[in-house]
Amino acid sequence: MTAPARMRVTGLGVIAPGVDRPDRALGPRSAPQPGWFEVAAALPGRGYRRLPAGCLHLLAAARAAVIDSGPRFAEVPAHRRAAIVGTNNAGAALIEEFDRTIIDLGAAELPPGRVPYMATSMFAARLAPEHLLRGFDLTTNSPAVAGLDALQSAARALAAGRASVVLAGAVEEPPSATQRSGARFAAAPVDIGAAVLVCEPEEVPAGGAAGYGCCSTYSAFVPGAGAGADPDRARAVLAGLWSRLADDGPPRRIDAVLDDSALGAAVAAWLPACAPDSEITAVPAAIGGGCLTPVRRVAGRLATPGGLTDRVAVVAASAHGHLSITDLTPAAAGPGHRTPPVDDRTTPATTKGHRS
Amino acid sequence: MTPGSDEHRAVMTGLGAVSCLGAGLGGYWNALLAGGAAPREVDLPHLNMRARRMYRVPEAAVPEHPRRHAGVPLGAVPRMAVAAALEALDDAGIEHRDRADVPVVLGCEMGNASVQEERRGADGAGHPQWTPLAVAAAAVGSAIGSRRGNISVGNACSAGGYALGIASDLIRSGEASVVLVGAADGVTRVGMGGFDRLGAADPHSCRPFARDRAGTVFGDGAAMVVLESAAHARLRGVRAYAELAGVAWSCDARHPTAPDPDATQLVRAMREALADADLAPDRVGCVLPHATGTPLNDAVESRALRRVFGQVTDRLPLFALKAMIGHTSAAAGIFACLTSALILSRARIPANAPVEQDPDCEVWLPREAALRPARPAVLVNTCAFGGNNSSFVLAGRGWPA
Repeated sequence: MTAPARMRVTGLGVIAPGVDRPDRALGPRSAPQPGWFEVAAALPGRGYRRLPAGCLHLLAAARAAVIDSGPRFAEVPAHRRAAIVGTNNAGAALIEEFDRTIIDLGAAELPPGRVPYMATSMFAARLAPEHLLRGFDLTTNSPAVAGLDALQSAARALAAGRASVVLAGAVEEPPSATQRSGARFAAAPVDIGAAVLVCEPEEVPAGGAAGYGCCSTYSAFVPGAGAGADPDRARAVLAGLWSRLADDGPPRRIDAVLDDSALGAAVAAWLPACAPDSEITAVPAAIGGGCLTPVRRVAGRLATPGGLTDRVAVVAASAHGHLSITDLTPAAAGPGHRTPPVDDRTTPATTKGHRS
Repeated sequence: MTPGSDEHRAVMTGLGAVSCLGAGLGGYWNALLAGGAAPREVDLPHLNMRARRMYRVPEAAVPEHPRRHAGVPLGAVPRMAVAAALEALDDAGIEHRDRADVPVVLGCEMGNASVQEERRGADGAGHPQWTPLAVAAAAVGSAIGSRRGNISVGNACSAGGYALGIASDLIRSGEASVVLVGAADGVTRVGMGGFDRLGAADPHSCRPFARDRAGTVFGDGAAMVVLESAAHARLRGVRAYAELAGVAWSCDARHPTAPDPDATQLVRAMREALADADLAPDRVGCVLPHATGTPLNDAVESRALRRVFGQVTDRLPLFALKAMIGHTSAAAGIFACLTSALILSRARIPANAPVEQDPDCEVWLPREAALRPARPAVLVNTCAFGGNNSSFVLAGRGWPA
C-alpha cells in the first residue's frame, strides 16, 4: 500500500460565525448573530441575492482563499482549475421546504431558481462559474469526514494530473429547527459556514510559493452495525492507520474532532496511548454529521501566527465508521513561505470575505 | 491523467446490479436484449406534479436488509447498494477474508432522502429528524467488512463517472489492488418534483433522441463494479470483463442546469478519456451516451459526438440505455459502465428501443437487432447539474490491439 498523495496549501479562506480569518478558525463554534455575514461586503457584485446561505459562505471563503493565494491562481488555465468540497447538511432545510411545498401546494409552486439545490452537490458546483473551474467540480458527502475526504481527493487528483490547482474544503448549513427537533439534537452545536484551501502539487515549481504547509490524508473504516461498538476492532483499524502515519515519527500535536458515538469514544480512549508524547486537543464534533469543523482545524493550524512549525494531525471519525486523519507538515523555509500575521483582533466582527 | 503501468491497469472483474429489470446481472442482460422495462406510476402519497412515472425496481427485488446502520434507518437505496456490492464481490471471487482490504467508492446524491419523505407520513404532517443522506457507502463498507477508506461522492447525475475516476486513480497509483466502486439512487418526491418544475420530466417514458422526447424519466437502482489491478487479477487467475482504460472529467463552468450548447467541455472530456486510454476515436465500437431524453441534452450531445468522431459517427452504434432502465441519476454512470463491460465481454450491443428519431440528433441508433461491436472499445458519457461531465472508455480484453 503506497502512502497517500501529498499537496501544498497556498491559500486559505474561512467564513463562519465569529470567524473572518483562517487564523481565528481554531476558536469555538459560535452561535450566529444577526448580521454576522454581509453578502454585499463579502461578495461584491450581482447574482448572489437568491443563492442559499451555504452557497454564499462557500463562495466567500473561496474568494478569500483565492485572493490569499496571490496571482498564481489566475495564471492557471481554466481547464486545469478544479474544486472538491465536502458537505452533509448543505441544503437540508431546503429539501424539507421543497417537500412541504410539493405536499401542500404542488411542484408547480417550487422556486425554479433554487430547485437545483435539492442536489447537495450544487453548492460546490456554484464555485465553477465563479472561478472558471473547467477542470472538474466534485462533492464528497460522507458523514463527518467529507471535508477531510475532499482534501484527500484533492491531493489524489493533483497527483494523478487531473488538475494543477484545486479549491478544496467544506461547507455546512444547519438543518432546520424542525429537522433538529429532539432533546439531543436541538441543543447541540452545528456546523455553519465554509472553509477553503487553495491546493497545488507538493513540489514547488521554480518561482512558485511554498505556501502554508503540506498535507496528506489517511483514511480507514471500522465496519459493524454500531461502528466502534467492538473496541478491539476499532483499535485494530486505528492502529493500522496510525502506524502508517507515524512511520517517520508521531505528530507534535493532534486535534481530535470526535463525537460521543462508540467509535468517537474508542478513538478518544486510544489516541493518548498511541501518541503519548503528542499534545492532544479534544474538539467536540458538530452533531448531524457536519464535516466543517475538521477542515476549520486544518485551516486554523496552517494559519498559525508565525507559521506552522510542528507537524499536526487532525483526526475525525463518524458514528458510521469513517476514520480520517489529515497530516500537516510545515512548508520548507524560503521564498513564498507563508507566515501568517499574529492575530491582533482589529478586524470588525462582520466578515469582509477576505483576509485583512 | 498519469497513466498506470501495465501492472496497475484497472480491470473489471466483478459486477452487480439491482434495477427495474430485477436483481442480479443475468436477468439484467437478458432483459436489455429483450427491450428493457417500461415506466409505471409511482405510488408515493402527495405526488402533486405532472410527471409521476419512474422505471421502478420491482418490490420483490428490493432487499429487506440491512435495515439500520449506526442508528440511521436505511431506505431502499443503501439496501440495494449492499445487495449489488455483495453480488459484485461474489462475481469477482473476492473471498470474505480478503474484503477487509477493499476500499469502497460510491456515488450517491439524494440517497437516503426517501426515509425522510416516508416519515412525513400518509397525511404529510410528519416532521422527521434530519439524518445524513449519503449513508450507502458506509452501509456497503460495513456489510462487506471493509477496513479501508470509504468515499462517498455526490456529483448528481455524473456521480458514477467521478466515482470511477477516483477508483481508477486508487488502482493506478498503487494505493489499492482492489476497489469496490458503484453508485445508487432512488425514488424521492423532491427529486421528481424538482425535475417536473424545471420542465425536464417526461410524463410518459424516457425517449432519448426521439423527435417527441419531452424530458427524462427517473429509474431507481444500484450498480457496483469490482475494479482490480491487472497484476492482482492475473495473480488470482480470474478473467476480466473489460479494462477501464481511461477516465476524464470536465466542467462547463457556465449554467446550473443547462448544458453548454457548444459542448466544448464535454468534447474535451471525451477526447481526454480516449487519450488517457491511448486509443484513437476509430477504435471505439460503441458509445453509451448520457442521452437523458431532455430536448437540449440529446441535441447537444449528438453534436459533441460528431465533433469527436467526425463522419465515423454515421457508422458508430449508440446504445441509449436510459430508454430501458430510466435515468438512474447518480447511478447512471455505473449502470452504463457495467452494461459496456457486458457488451464487450459478450460481444453484443443490444438493439435500441424503437423511436422516431429526431433529425437534429445525427447519430446512429441501431433498432432492428443486437449488433456485434466491430471495434474493441466503448465510450461512456455522464453529465450533470452544475455542468459536470465525465467520460470514460472501456477496452475489451483479448481484442487485437
